[in-house]
Amino acid sequence: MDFSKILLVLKREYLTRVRTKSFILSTLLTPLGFVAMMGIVIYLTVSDGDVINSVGVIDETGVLFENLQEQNPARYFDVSNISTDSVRSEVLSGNLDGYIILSDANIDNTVEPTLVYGGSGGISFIESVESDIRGVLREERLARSNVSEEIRAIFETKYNIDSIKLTEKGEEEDNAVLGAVFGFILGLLIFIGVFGYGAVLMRSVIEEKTSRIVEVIASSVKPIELMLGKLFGICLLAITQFGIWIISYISLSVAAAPIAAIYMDAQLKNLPPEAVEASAGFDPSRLEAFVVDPTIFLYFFVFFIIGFLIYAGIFAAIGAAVDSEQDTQQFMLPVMVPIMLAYFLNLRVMENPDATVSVVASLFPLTAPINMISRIAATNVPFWQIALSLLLMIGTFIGLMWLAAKIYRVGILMYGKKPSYKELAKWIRQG
Amino acid sequence: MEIIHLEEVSKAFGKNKAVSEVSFTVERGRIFGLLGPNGAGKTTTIRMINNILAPDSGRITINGQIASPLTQKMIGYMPEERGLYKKMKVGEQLLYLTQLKGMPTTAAKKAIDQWLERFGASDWKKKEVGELSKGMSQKIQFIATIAHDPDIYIFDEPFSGLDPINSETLKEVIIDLRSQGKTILFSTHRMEQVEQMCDDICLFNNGKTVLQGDLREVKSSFGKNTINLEFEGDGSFLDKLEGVRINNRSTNFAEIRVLNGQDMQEILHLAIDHAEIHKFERVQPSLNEIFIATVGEDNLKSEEVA
Repeated sequence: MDFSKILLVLKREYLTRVRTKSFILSTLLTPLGFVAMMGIVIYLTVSDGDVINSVGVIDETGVLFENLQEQNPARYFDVSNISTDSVRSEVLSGNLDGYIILSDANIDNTVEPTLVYGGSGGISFIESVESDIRGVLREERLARSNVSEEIRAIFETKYNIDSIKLTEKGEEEDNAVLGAVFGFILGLLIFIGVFGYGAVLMRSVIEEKTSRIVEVIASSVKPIELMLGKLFGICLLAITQFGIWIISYISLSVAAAPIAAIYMDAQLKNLPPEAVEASAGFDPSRLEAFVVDPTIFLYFFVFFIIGFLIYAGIFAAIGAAVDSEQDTQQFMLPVMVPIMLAYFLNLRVMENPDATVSVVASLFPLTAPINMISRIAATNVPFWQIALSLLLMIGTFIGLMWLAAKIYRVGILMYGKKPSYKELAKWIRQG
Repeated sequence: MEIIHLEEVSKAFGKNKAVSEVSFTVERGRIFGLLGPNGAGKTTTIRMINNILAPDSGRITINGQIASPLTQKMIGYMPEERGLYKKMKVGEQLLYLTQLKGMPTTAAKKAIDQWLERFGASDWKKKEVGELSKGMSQKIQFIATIAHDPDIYIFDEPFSGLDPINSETLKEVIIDLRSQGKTILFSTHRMEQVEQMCDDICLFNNGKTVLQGDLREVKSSFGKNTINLEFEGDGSFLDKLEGVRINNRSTNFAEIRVLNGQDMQEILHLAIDHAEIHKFERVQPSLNEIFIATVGEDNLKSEEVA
């Protein structure tokens, strides 16, 4: 193999693509889009109670309504003075979303209270009414039973736990949720990278075929040199893009806490003392949680590169086997299945990185590139598992590349009818 | 001196024997024509000479070396199906293709500039190939083939799809290259181009060579067994002739190949009886006729006659 030729092919592939508008735009816009998407998700979560469903309360006990209104003043209306029929018509006309009749029997829990509602609001509406009512009923029942203040206080206590991770270096503050989410995002990036750039490679191979330049090139370089040059050129392109994103992330995450602190200090000086107290809820040092150990990015690149190489060979072979992008459909299935599987398994890995299915997924070479990186970010993966997964992936890469190169070699000079799987097998045997 | 040599070369794709036991030699400084109908195995042979395909058996040597990546550098190859990267600039593209042939960057740039100038295409350097007209990109394609200054030039069906002006330019360049001592091998199924340009020919049919040698010797070996007849009047008498094959027939012309050594004077008598004769000439057969005769139709017909 002539490495100077591979390098020439690589250089062309990389340079002609890195300068394109689509590459520059996707590099700039993808993180913005990502941030926007996160923003939307957060907004939707926070603004959950945005729509206030009104509930009329017919309070036969005379004590519950006041407490209910304390829970959610905008939701509950006292309709005890109005007849049930007119309350029902209010619900039907849409002025009220529902009504509920509360009686002493409800407090004793001999009868369950019934929420009658107009059908809008969904599960979260019913659940929140349920939890409001439950609290109010419990409190009233405790009061009536003459329970001591102490016990009432016990009932009102909310328990939380803190988690601290024990490592060789000692105790560290751990944020398991952040780690899992971060791992999922890294896995997602590898998924997008392998798929997106695999498709770029495939289109590039098809382009050389349809523009008929491939035979000119084949008279100068070996097909395997051409294929490897293209493959590594596009891999480098992906690394460039991810590199830009990751460096931006690292510098932003490192700088975020100090900058926020400076910004807040400056603001606090200009604020009246009461406002200072109110803003104390936000501690800028919390942003430091976003600073991650950079070795994870090292793993990220290792797993991305090998993962890309595993799939890229297949993408190149598919590109070589067909004449146009429309014809690729029938061959995409064998690529789609494992990679989509890895994507869905990644959700499971995020939830439970140490489950057997997660361990298997992170070792199986076709899903490992995506699932192992998520595990590494989310939990402590034994080194032997990482090593084994890398070893299996490299073996798979070599095997698949060997097959792909054979298909590629025959395919790039074949025009006309779309080959069947049987014919592809014949090409492999020919090679 | 031999520069390309094939020895018992065979290549099959599955059950289809594309080329079987082909041998021929191309001499340095000559124009060599590879002829034959479509599907005769010309392109496969050319691909093997270019080391794009490997022969199943047999030996191919270029300048005495077995075909390899090393010999690829000695050859400038223009395939039948031509193309360039549409979105790449002309200058960058030519540089890339020339570098791939192993030419150092500075020398490649210089050569490309010279050729662009010769073809009046210097202004296109910064243009993308997609912006060029078909004729223009044909010129760029041509420069891409020859810029690395190889000893051997191989063109597969070079004239197909060329506009008349580029066709003429190509002919001139080929003749010019030969005068510089370069070797040219091209394939075609159009015989008249071969008659105009080639020194040597090799005839392909069904994956085998059926005839090869110096074009003039090949033709003279067939003898002056053909009549070019120009006449005016009713040409239907031609249908009555037996033991002949008529090529290139039109209302007042016929190329009559005489089989079985029939007396040509009889044909002249018959012609005079039926039409006014403007020209009666004994000539060597055309290459087209030679091809048909060699490939076998001739044998078939003469048997019928006998």
